[in-house]
Amino acid sequence: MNRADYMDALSRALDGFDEATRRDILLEIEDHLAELAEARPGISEEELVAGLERPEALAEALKSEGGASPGPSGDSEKPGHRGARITIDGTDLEEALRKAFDIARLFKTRRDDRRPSGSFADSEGLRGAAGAAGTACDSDHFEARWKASGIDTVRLQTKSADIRIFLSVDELEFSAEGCEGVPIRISDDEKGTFDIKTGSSRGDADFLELRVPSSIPNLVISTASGDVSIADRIGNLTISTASGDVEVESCCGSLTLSTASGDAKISACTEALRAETASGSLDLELDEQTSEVAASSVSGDLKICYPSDLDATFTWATLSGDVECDAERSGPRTARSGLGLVPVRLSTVSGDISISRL
Amino acid sequence: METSNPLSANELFEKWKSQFRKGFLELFLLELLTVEERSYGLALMERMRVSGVDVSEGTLYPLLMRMTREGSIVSEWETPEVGHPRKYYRVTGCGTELLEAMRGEYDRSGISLEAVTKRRTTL
Repeated sequence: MNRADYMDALSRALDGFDEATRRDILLEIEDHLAELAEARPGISEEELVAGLERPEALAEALKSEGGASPGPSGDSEKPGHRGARITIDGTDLEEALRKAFDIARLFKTRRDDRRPSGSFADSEGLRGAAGAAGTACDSDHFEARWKASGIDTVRLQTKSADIRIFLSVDELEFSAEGCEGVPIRISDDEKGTFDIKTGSSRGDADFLELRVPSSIPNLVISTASGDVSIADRIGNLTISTASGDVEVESCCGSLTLSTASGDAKISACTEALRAETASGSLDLELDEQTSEVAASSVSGDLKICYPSDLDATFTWATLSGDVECDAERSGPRTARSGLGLVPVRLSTVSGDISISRL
Repeated sequence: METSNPLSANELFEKWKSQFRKGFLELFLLELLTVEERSYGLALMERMRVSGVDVSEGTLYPLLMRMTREGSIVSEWETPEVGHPRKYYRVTGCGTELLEAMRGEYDRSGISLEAVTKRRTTL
């Protein structure tokens, strides 16, 4: 009996419990087995499982001690479920979501249809000189460009401005629209970090465009409520938003993404892809060159599409979400496509998981 | 002449031990969760084993389930950045009160037992 057989047998033996409690127990025992296996890498699955209480005996004990109500019952109380809370980094889910929505409201974009009024400055010499003091735009349009040499990481931080990223040939190019009176702070340090920050509590630009050459290894974008759209990026990319939505059309490099309530759509990522969200949905289209995927959500749905020639092993865990998978099942919570070389790990608390071929 | 009791001393001991352990494990778990503040299934099992109390999954998880249902402990799911969600347990206010009362009872039982055995040796 291997791990999958054990979980299958346990799942069958837990038939007296209501569905939520049953999933709760299965998920807990699965975590137990996963950690045991990790702690004793030299032991085969069969040996590991042999050292455990038999699944039928465990289920019996849970039924007698846990107070399962066999068959349909009028009792609405779910055994073992009372007092269960869902948390993100130690914060209540509800609390986390409320915070995310508060932030989103706070930075609600004020859109006025002012037209860009031409170039503000050709800021070849701005880098370093602007420093921490920053520049408040006196025009509705701002643009600047810098030599990329010596820059290791570009960090772009906004409150509510929408962001679009393109690839450039050799220089770092930045422009802002709808930015009259909005502070734009640009600074760099000896370690090669180049910072661009826009917005204050009073407002932010409407729209930012950044063109980043492939010679800059790292690009880090964070925004509260701005939407982020990546048209083209070569190099590593990190994106975090509270309520902003994210769309990545092309990224040759590893991608790390986190949102609180923002939705994300990733079309192509050639290296490691890590994505997490609280209540946003994740829509991931894998590339045949994707090397590793880890995606998790609390209540958001995960949708994964994969090309037919991707060699991947999908594993998933969910507390109460539904799972749909068209790849060949290799266990109760795993499936395989091709040789199964690329690990694709998915987990949700209540979000649904869908895995389908392109 | 022997009575027709079908159980050997060993079997009788096993029967007594299972009853004794039921109460003892609940006390032990409350103590452990109070010390650790919060913990999860496998870590609790490991901690108990190190302290000389061997429990199987079939003993621990049902006990945690009952105690959660009764309200002396609560559970919460936590989803790590990446990986498997984990269920943590901690003691409630009611559990702390229960533990106080249990400790009192446990100490009193020990003292009573000692008093009896002492009398026997001095007789």
